[in-house]
Amino acid sequence: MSTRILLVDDDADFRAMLCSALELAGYSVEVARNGRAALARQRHSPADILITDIFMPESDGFEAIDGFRRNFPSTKIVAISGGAPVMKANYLDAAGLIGVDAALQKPFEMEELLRVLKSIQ
Amino acid sequence: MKLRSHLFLLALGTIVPVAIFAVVVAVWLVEREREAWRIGAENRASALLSAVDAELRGHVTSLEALASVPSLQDGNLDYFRTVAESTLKTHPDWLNIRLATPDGKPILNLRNLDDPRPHGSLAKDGSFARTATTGKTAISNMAWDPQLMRWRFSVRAPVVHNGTIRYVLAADAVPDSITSLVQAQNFDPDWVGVVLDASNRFVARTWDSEKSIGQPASESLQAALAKSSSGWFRGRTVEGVEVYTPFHRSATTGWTVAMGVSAKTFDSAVWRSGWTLALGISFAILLALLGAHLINRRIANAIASLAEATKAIGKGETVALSTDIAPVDEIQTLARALRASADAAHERQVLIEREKSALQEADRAKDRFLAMLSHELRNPLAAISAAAHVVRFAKAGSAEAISAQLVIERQTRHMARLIGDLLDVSRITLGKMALEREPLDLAETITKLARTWRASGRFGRHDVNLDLAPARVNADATRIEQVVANLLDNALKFTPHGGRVDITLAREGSEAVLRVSDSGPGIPQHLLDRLFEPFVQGNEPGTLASAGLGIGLALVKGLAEMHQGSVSAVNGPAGGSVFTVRLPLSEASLVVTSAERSVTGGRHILLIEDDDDTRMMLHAALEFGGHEVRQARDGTSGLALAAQSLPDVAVIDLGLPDIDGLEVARRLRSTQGKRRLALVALTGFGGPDDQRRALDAGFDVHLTKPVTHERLKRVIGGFP
Repeated sequence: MSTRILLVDDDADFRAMLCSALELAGYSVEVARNGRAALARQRHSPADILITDIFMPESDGFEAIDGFRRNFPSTKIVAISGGAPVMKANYLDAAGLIGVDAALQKPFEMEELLRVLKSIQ
Repeated sequence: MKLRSHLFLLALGTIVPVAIFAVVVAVWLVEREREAWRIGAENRASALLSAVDAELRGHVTSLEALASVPSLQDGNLDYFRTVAESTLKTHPDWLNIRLATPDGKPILNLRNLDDPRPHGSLAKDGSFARTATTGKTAISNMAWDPQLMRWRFSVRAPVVHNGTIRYVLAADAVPDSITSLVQAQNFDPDWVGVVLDASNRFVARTWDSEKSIGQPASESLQAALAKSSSGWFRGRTVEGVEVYTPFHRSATTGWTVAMGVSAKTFDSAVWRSGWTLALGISFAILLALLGAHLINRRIANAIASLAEATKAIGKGETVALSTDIAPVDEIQTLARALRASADAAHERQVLIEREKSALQEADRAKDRFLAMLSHELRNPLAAISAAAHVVRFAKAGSAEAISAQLVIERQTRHMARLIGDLLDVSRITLGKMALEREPLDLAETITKLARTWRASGRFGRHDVNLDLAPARVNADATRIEQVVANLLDNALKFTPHGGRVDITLAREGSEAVLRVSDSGPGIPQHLLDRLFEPFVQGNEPGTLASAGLGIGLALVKGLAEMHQGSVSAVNGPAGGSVFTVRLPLSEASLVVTSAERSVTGGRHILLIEDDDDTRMMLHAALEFGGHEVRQARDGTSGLALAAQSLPDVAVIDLGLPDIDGLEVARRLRSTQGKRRLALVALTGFGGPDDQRRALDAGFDVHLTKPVTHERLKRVIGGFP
């Protein structure tokens, strides 16, 4: 049985493309539009790896990470964000602080994401 | 030098001359007083002397009368004795009457008193000798009578018989009457009045009357008498009391009257006026200094507190400054000025603070913008990157591959627009954006845009309604599309799915009015004022999600203003926001209003262009479009041709060899009749200033070379 990934991003185009790319790489992928929807979907059909954007309207990536750490501690988490280290808090660093397994800055090479996914399994 | 010193100097400077003058006057007054006193005292002395002289003359007269009794002349001495005795009785001052021969032999002595002096000594007595030898009456000096134990003086008179001196008659007298005379003067107790005989011995004296008689006068008086028979001097009494002394010696008797006026009393009386004056002056000086001191305190304290206030103002502290600081107009004026300056400084401080906080806010906005920019640029790149991966690994022609291609196209377009907007805002800010204005119908532009968006699914599940009246404006079609697209994009972004967005276009007066309203949550009140500033975001700070860069509305405002228009935003009465763009209607559309003339060829076009290639090319293009074209190579011939052929449109190069294109346009405008001529400028310079100059000169449209056929056709067709 292939590794199941839950992909959370508010950008429909990005979501669709990453979903296709991961499926092409042999993963089984589910998608959600925000953190809350991700938690709901995880309860319904649990994934092994969570890939989540940080900035999303309504319910952001921190909420998803927090919820997963609490309720699904065995799920690996990869945070992705386009936020630049311009402001005092780098959001990827913040994600690291609250405990994700890996963090990537958008845009990233697909090969890099696949390498990260392999390394955390 | 301190203010106090200045004031003291001023006070002294005023008073000292007055004081000096007063002292001079005082000294003069004292001198006059002293003189008056002296004259008064001398007069008294002289009067007293007259009285003494009269008294002595009385004695002499009495004695002379006795000397002339016949019995004495006859030598009947016995009878004379009785006459003399009765005379003695009527003269209480007289002690004795004596008679002697001129050679000093006593013949008669009423009291029978022995003369203690040896025989013959009488002849040597001064007064006796004088009378005996000269035959004149004489008065002796005071002498002690040892038998009577009294001081007495003698009056002597000659007894002349047949021209010869037979006897010398003498009367011994006590000076009681003279003493009375002196005492009758009622001198002040500290005054002393004296009568001296010729040998300067006291005959009478008001002080120590009994003991003084016969004693020599004071040395100072004797010295003064040795020099002069009358006068005034300052000396000492025999007791040593300092006195001013007027004195007078009688020429007839040789006796002297003198008065001692106590120097202490005299001086104090004389100086009293002086002292009064001095006291007055001192009081005045004291008063002036006190006044100076008080004024100093008021002014100096006020100035000190003003100085404190000035220091505080310098430090930017607020100061409470009363204008009642001192009852001095100048200081109050200063205090008022200082307070005004303090207020100004405070105001400036407040402005600086405000500016500082505005700068900090701008800085924060910039930081937010950069974070947002990163987010906005990276997201589409991430999608494109993922899509590229899909394109590489998916089967060609598969649904995934096609979808990936669409994503790449869409996201690339999105990014291009984002970057374009960013650059446009920067261009507008720097004044570097040039508009390619042409007459166009706003309704047409909006309809076209809406059709495209609807077809591409950008309206999503929103209910977008259009209600557009034709409105012709002189505008840059691309920029107007940008304005509408941004407003529409915002409305869609901030309105929940299923919400309604209305786009209306109407002509109001000389303006085309475009309204984009939505049924979204409206604009927070605190953002309404700053909505059109760059980088201001519609979302709450901290929730960065999907808010965009905050440059869309800034771009809308900049573009609207470049078209001499405006943009504003309000919250609708039923919720949601309403954005209104106002653009000036083009003159042509004002004339034609809604009567849309069908645009076909067949216009009369005048082409003025000095460059042969361009002219030939444009000529060909316009003729191809069905227009009737006439051409000129310079302004002068162009103007002549225009007057002759009455064209509908003139296309004029601005850089003509003789008259420049702007001038040609001005002349055409000034000579045109009721028929409005459409003017198109051709130029190699497309800056905003060039455009403004062209429009000011009367051109309707300004085209930057090279001009495409398509664009030229649109422009010509756009004229009514």
